[in-house]
Amino acid sequence: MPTDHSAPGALRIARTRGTMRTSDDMTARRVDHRAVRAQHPEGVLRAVYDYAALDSAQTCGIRYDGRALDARVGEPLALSLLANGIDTLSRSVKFHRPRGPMCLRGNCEGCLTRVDDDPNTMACVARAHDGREIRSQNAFPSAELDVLRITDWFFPKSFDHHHLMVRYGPAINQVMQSFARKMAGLGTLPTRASEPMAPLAMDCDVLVVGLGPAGLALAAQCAQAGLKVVAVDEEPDVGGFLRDSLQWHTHEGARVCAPAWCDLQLAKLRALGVSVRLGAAACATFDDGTLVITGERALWVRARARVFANGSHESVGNFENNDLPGIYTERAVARALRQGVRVGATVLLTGGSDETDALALALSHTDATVHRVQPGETLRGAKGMGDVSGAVLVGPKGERTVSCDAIGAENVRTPAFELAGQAGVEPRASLTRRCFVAHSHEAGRTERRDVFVVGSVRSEGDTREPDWDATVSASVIALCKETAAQTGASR
Amino acid sequence: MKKHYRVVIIGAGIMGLSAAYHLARRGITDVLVIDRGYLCGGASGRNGGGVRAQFSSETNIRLMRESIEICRDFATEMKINVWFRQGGYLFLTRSKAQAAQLEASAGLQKRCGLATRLLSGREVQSIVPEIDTQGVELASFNPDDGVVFPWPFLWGYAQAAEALGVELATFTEVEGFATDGKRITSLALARTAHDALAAHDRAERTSAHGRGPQLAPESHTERPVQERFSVSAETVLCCAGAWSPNIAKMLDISLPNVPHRHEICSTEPLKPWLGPLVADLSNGLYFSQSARGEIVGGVSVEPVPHGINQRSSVQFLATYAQALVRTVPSMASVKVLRQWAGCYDLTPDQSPIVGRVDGCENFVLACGFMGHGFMMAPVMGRHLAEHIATEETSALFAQWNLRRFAEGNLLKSESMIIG
Amino acid sequence: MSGKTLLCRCEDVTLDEVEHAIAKGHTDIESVKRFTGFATGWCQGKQCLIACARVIEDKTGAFPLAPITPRPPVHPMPLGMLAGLANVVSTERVTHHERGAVRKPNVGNGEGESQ
Ligand SMILES: Cc1cc2nc3c(=O)[nH]c(=O)nc-3n(C[C@H](O)[C@H](O)[C@H](O)COP(=O)(O)OP(=O)(O)OC[C@H]3O[C@@H](n4cnc5c(N)ncnc54)[C@H](O)[C@@H]3O)c2cc1C
Ligand code: FES
Repeated sequence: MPTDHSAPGALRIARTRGTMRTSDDMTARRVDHRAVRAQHPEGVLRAVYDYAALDSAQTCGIRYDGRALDARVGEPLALSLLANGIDTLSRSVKFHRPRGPMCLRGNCEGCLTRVDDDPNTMACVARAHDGREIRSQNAFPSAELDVLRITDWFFPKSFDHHHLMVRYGPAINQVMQSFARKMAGLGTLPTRASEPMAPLAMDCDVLVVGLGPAGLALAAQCAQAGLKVVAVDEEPDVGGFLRDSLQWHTHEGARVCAPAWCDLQLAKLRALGVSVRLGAAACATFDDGTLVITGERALWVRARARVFANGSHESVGNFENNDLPGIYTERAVARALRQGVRVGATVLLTGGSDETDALALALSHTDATVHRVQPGETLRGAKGMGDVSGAVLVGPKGERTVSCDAIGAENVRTPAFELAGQAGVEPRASLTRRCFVAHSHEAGRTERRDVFVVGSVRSEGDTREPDWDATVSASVIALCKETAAQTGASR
Repeated sequence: MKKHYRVVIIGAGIMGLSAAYHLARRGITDVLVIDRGYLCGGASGRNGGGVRAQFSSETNIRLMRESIEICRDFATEMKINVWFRQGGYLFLTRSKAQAAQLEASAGLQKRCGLATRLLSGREVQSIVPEIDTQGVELASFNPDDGVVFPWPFLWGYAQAAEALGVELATFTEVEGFATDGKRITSLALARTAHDALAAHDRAERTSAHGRGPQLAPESHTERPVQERFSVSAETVLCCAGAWSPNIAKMLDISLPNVPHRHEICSTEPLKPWLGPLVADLSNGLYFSQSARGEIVGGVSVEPVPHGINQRSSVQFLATYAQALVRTVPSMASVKVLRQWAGCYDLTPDQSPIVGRVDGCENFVLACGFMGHGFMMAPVMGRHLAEHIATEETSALFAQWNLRRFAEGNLLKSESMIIG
Repeated sequence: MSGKTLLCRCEDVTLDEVEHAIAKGHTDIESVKRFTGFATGWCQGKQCLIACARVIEDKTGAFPLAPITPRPPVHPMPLGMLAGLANVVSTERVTHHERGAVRKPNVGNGEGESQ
């Protein structure tokens, strides 16, 4: 249910940002998607909102630092907090700079909070339900107003902890060290022992890690060839980057929005007998298997072939104050909007793609003011003492400042070579793209016989290049047949 | 780089750097230290940073007591923080036999002047309330033991040695030696591109024996050598840790020590709650809290792969997690952030191999430091410098010479080894 | 207003710190990682690796040929979930791949070998 903050009985949250604010000028807020739909029935909008989920959403009560808030059952806690105008959740380790959600996809550290008894829990991954207790971390007295911020001002450029207080004798050094120890660490030790479910071993022909377009296609092709496929994705839904697309996609000639397209692929995989595990993060690969962690337990997956289709990460932005709360990846802004939360009232978008255009349009339909970066212009820095209050842009005509309360930054996407790398696949520099890729030979093959890479994790060129055609699955299928013939049995 | 040096040290781990620093302090500054990789790439950059004097042999107790003193002043003397924190070492035993050994060691430690105390399970909880002490037979605690952050220790020695005139060449590997039958006349060196070596270093990517069936044939890459050259030296000091047997082999000297993979991991940073390093002698579990708040620890896992292998295994994670959660149940929802591995350099009698080698006059060894070579280095560096400068052999060096293996004079083994 | 660019948000490593490390002679990516602490925090480099590699390129003229060693895990894993793994992870396969597996204490083929 969309929350009407001005309704009687609804909580009024004071937000500190230099001055006290009331809920009326809260910038991040829930979008009344029904009203938006009524006003703008056509065009991009239908591709934007997750109508089914939003229409059926139930409200629940959560607590943040002791304050009662309402949330939608099942939404990421980070969104519940944003919808309540809270974008600052903790303080950084050394400088005590404010930290808030940035990626909304479990890729950063911005949303770490204590959830129930668990320290350092990603609030964009943990879901809302009645009675959840969220606490900010590493801040005194609160994440929004932390006195240790002086560290940040005291060290205007950097902080050389290697040589801190080494010149004044052992006594002073000792005092510094005791202080540093007290300051170290983020959360505190849990008070109780959790008892997760026992790990589960799974044996299969093919393990597919990552269910973006590449992984979806590959898993389907392998299943069609009669192989036993286990497919995992760390997100609760399939689709990878495509799921956050605000554009129309086609399915059998019909126009469908991205999540619908993705869910059709998921249905297809399930119909083919693929064992799909969502919210299941492949965390580590070893010679003899792959360790997958779900919300409940660990899975130990052994496969004849492992296919890494786990896409890319988003790098930090290259501008001053790139870490302020209120700075999101462009994808996170779209993702929040899809789930009915607008990240700001005045949003600067730095991207220039079709997706940025769609996002700008969709945001403007929510009464947000949208600023765009002009051709030739780059973002030099964000402004703000607590969270974002503006941005400085430089271009051919000089410098200009815009005021905004959120930035959707188009960040560099970099191949997620780590998992394949742990399995023994050499990561290499791509000098043209200035990043590292999982090194592969033709048809997704790597220097390890049982490991394949497909999609943007390996590609040298455009990250959306459709290299997940049937050549990769053909080599995976061939290997499985070969090893099955050698060992006799199928898994 | 010059053509000739008074001393060339192979290996810029803590041992090589400490020796270089102490040589320079004695006025011997014509020293070159080479390492095949980056600083901190060997065991010295991969260890748990534990420094303790609780051992079962008097030699170790006395040496490490001195190390603790050095660690205390290291930051202000060398002008770099090493975050030495004396939270003590808490040893746990779970059997009568081990308890008896612990008691005997504690007695010896007390006679050597340590503040070691024996504790019951209940008393353990007064030091770390979070520990489940069920099954703990007896524990010992020395409040003066502690932990350091290993990396800056290396930078501190490197920086100070360089300031005194020592040359340090990383990404430079010894590939062979020329000898005249009695002594080394020159060392053949190869310099690799900085990061090309990392790219090539399969020790961490592929287990040596996993190669056969698992690796595709295209995968063999040439080592990216940029330059090959040679230098000569009056004395060659081998501080190559677990790689030492390989180096000695180039001289047809065979060493009895073997590399033994030892894995370790670190959790998310937590606010301080754990004072001591806790070590369980029944299963090799140990853990402590670092200066940044992470819980860093390891456990024994058998069997280990043959040779130099720095790959991580799931068997380690499984064994460590089980042992740690049993010991501290509230750690169950604490998360592992990073795991890695290094090699212990194991000798048959758990004692190091140091000093000149019979049959090769100007070759000096300093290896076989097991799982406690980091804490030994501050003291051993000084002894090594003295040995090289004075050409005299102390009682300690006589006892720890390689020839004891040929002569069958193995030392009584050290029982307080972790992991 | 402070003008900080945080290359590594998890460990609060600024652009200035990375430049300082390079100036001190830590020019390869593994050494820069160790000296500054980038990529050692919560995200283990997912956000900062490329940013730091690019600064190394800008300062030294060469983009690193290889990244830091990718170490498990890529996402944090709760110890409690790993604790039961010993029951499902067989050691059999390891010994199969790594036929040279040894048990400690073990002695090489050295001359002075004795036990
Ligand atoms: C996981 C783990 C935990 C540990 N915990 C502790 C602890 O808590 N406390 C403690 O005191 N000790 C501990 N140790 C042991 C300790 O780390 C070692 O004993 C110590 O670091 C050995 O130092 P070193 O300088 O002799 O060897 P290393 O640090 O291994 O240095 C040897 C160097 O030689 C170089 N080299 C090899 N071959 C060549 C060549 N051909 N040419 C040039 N250079 C070469 C290598 O690159 C390497 O840098 C631990 C070890 C491990 C693996
Ligand atoms: S990890 Fe939650 S916002 Fe990035």
